[in-house]
Amino acid sequence: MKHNDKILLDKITAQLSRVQHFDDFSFVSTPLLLPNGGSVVVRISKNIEGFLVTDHGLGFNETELIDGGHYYSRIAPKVAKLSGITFDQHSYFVLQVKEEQLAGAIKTVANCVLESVTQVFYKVAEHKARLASDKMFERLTNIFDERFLTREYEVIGESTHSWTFDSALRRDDNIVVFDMVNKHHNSIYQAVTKFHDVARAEFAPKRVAVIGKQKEYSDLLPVLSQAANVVELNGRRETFLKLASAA
Amino acid sequence: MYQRFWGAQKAITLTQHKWQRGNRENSLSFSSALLVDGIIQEGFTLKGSAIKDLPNCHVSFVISHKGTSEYGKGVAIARADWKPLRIHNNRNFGEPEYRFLDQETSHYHDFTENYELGDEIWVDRKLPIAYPINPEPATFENFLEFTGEKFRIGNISSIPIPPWNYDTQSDLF
Repeated sequence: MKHNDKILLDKITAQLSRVQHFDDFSFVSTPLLLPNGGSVVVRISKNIEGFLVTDHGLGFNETELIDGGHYYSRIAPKVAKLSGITFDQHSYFVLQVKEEQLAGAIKTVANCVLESVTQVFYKVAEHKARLASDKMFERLTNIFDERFLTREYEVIGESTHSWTFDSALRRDDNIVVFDMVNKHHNSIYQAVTKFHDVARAEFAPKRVAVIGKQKEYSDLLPVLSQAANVVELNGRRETFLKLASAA
Repeated sequence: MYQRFWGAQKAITLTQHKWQRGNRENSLSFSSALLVDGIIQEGFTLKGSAIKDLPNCHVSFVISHKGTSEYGKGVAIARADWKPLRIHNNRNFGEPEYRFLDQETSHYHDFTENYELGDEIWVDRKLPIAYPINPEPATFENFLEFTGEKFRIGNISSIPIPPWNYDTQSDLF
């Protein structure tokens, strides 16, 4: 490494954190980035016992904005425990920090915030639907020739709205669309709306609603079956083949 | 669904708006349903956030959708941050001249460009692309005006100034 580059790196390293000073405390913006690109911020104040390092509840604040505050309250104490620090319902903090411990305490608090906020972000955007859709596609590829399968297939309904189905089986002009429908009422209502609109369209494809276990869908199964055939994800291979036989 | 909502002229409800104490003592939060053509849009909310002992800084407004859709429980549609304590960094997304750059001033996360990143990024990462607001709004009212224009919320100026505690000496911005 050339001397000039070393100087440059020293300069860049110094830029990794920023500090904003107030009268009684300072905020350090750390190099850690939350999933949305915001940096993790830690507040430092001093009293006769030493430094107090806390995130000032800003991690909690960030998750409240995305309706994830309740998750944060559950996750953060566990994360704090794993690092041996304290979480008081809203803020991480470490008391009585000595000067030589300060950098480490800042890093520990910041990493706890990052870990817990990240967990909340993923919790809030649960991937359940996508995972279910992945499982369904895997099942379909075990039954049908993958060359004829498409993911995220769009169909124009009678309303002219374009609907996306999780998968489609296409052989020549014959098309069967598959949608994974979970047991939650809203998922069923959405699927029913979609299936009905597509069923009325000219050249409507054959429609298959793929579900988990029948017994979990209560009395809404007949609603779902009004506009689509319904099959369990783990249903028999022959059932899938029969449903697709028109294709 | 989201594009149509985003493109529409919106309004906050006409009830008396107030900042509330958030779920923690030091936080202030604001929330209003959103109307399009006089109809309250299911699941869409304008949320505001401020810190009681940090006047005139670290205020955010977010339009969120509490989903029942495949997106899970929460989708951030757009966001504006005024004089944030946090630095924002777009990582390697968005306009090339802003990639990996620390943005230390007020910034705005627009719906369209984030949405184009695809669900996995814009939904899970909660609007990772932001650009600086130029010029930086000098007052809360200026920030509201900016936010109203970007979010297409005509009556946003009816949101009051957060009831900050000015006894603290943090107003250095």
